Amino acid sequence: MRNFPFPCPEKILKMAGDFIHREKENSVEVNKVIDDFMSNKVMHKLINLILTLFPVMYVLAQDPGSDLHNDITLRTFIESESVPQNREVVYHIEMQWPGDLSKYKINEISEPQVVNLTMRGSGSSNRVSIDPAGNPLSIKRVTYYFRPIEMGMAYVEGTTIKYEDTASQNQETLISSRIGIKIIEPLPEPGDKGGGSILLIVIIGVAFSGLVGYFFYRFKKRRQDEAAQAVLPKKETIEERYLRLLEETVHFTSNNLKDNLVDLSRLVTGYFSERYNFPAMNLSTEYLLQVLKEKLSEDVFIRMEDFYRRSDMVKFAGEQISESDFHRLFDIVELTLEKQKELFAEKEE
Amino acid sequence: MNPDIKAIHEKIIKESEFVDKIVREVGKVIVGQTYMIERLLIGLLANGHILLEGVPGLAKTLTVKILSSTIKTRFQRIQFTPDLLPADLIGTLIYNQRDGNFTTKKGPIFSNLILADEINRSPAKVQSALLEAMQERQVTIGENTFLLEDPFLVLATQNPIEQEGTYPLPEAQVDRFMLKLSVGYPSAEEELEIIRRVTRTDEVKVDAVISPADIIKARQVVKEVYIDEKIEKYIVNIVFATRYPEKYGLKELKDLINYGASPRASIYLTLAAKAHAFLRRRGYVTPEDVRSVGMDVMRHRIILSYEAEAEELNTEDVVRKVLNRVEVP
Repeated sequence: MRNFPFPCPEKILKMAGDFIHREKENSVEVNKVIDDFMSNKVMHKLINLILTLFPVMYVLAQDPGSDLHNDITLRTFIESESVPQNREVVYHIEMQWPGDLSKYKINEISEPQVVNLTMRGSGSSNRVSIDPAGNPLSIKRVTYYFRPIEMGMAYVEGTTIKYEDTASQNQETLISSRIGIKIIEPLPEPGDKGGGSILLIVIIGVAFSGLVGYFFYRFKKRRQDEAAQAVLPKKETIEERYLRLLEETVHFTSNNLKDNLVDLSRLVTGYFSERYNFPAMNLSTEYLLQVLKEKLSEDVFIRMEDFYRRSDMVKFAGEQISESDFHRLFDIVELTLEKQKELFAEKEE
Repeated sequence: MNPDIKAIHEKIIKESEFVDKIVREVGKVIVGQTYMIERLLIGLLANGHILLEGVPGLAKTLTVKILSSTIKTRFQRIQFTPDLLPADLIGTLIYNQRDGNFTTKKGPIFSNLILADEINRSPAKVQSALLEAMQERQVTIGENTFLLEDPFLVLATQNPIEQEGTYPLPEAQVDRFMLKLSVGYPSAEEELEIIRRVTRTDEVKVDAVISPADIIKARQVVKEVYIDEKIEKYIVNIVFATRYPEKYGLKELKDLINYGASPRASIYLTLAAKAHAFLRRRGYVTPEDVRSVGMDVMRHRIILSYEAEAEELNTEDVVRKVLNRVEVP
């Protein structure tokens, strides 16, 4: 979503109208011509078309090298336009840019302002895919989970994302647009009883157990067959395992970020301990950084030093951590694990 | 930074100005021994007594004397000998023949800084008299009890060799010292500088740069240093690992430790870590502060078994294992 520094189409129409009105006062002949012109529906449509195309032309006219907006794309969307009142609204903010994940640093994502919704939690993920031309394409997605308050319309207002070009250290801002969600009648919960008899419930229970048993048997058999067919199962690397643990164990619950940071710090320290075979968990930050300086590449070390110093301030100096700051630290850990994964994959090859 | 901690940090910056001055003045005479000097300052700031152990000639006594010279306060050096009596230390009642009354003669313990030199050379009754004063910060002579002036700090020295004719301090009494320092030899460069300084003809003058009131004010700030719950738990885990090593993955230490560290260890670890943070001009405690003072706080609080002695292990080996095993928050 982009912001453009020009007036809205209504304003442009008004400006055009004013201009035409002034010209009308100057000349009666011209006045007549313009009246004819304005009464012509075809011409009216043409003006509308030009006004619609104007923003597109404006963007195309930008110098590609001068504006960071040309490189990074922001997309915001919800998973479903209508959501039952007892279900969650899932709102995604997705940024993508060509090149490496470390090309841009997301400094801050403002908490979305919502109407008729309450925030329940958030999550973040990074991935690098390949575009059709074979170039790396980095995608960062931040997901927010909201709980509807009442039926009717709900809105997620625009979110501000501040980011930094790590090469030039230029800081820029993106603003997403407002999104509306229709909150509909709640769905019946699985525990709700419709007044059925106990016997019916028992029958359903027995039938369900039988079905589960049958599917379990089928599943087990299929797994056995698959295991038998598998030639050599791919072994999970240390980095892959820690990336999986990162996804599984570190949760973005906004009221418990300090504890989450402790978990995050423990996880990455545990990784270093296992990968480099030294008692990282029992070292204080100073000693740990001394060891890591010897073992990590310079850019990874700088990132991890930043992570540990900031973590110490939150853990021991009573500093508060914002959600965006937590996302940043999470990204550092994720990126470090990704880089380490690449490094050790290359070494193994 | 958290506003409260920022305020503490600013106070520390203001109240710790004397630290550099003391270090500079002590450095005029003492070469190296920065570890010992820093620990002495920790004792001064955390209001804890210190036991210095080291072979003769390591400038233990000299360092304490010079440190006391930098403070505008009263200093007494008491040489502990086998014939020293408690009355020589705390004072006694003297009968006045003229008026037939007893008058109190206060002993050298009524001072701010006490250097108890070679404390293990005196018998238990003298050691007890001193240690009671250390703990209670008061002395009873006859029927009168006298409070000792604040600051009151005992810096005792003892020699780990020549144990013949000495009276080793009982464990319960050693526990009252906040820190037990093991003073080591200087490096080659430092020893070279020692030779040059000692053989110089010019006299070095050490200035008194701090008053007792400054120390008391600094102690208040040290108490205010922020310590997070995670660090407090870390301290408790370290102390508990000496009592129940098997619960902390130190099964091999179970039969080597007869008695683990007392709750005084937890208290002194906390206070010393705060003082260490103060010396680093920090308004909050980090695990590094705890680890830095851990050995000095713990080494005299663990009683090892015969098995440990048979394996030629000492308390320092045990404390090192504990510090290296307990997970840092």
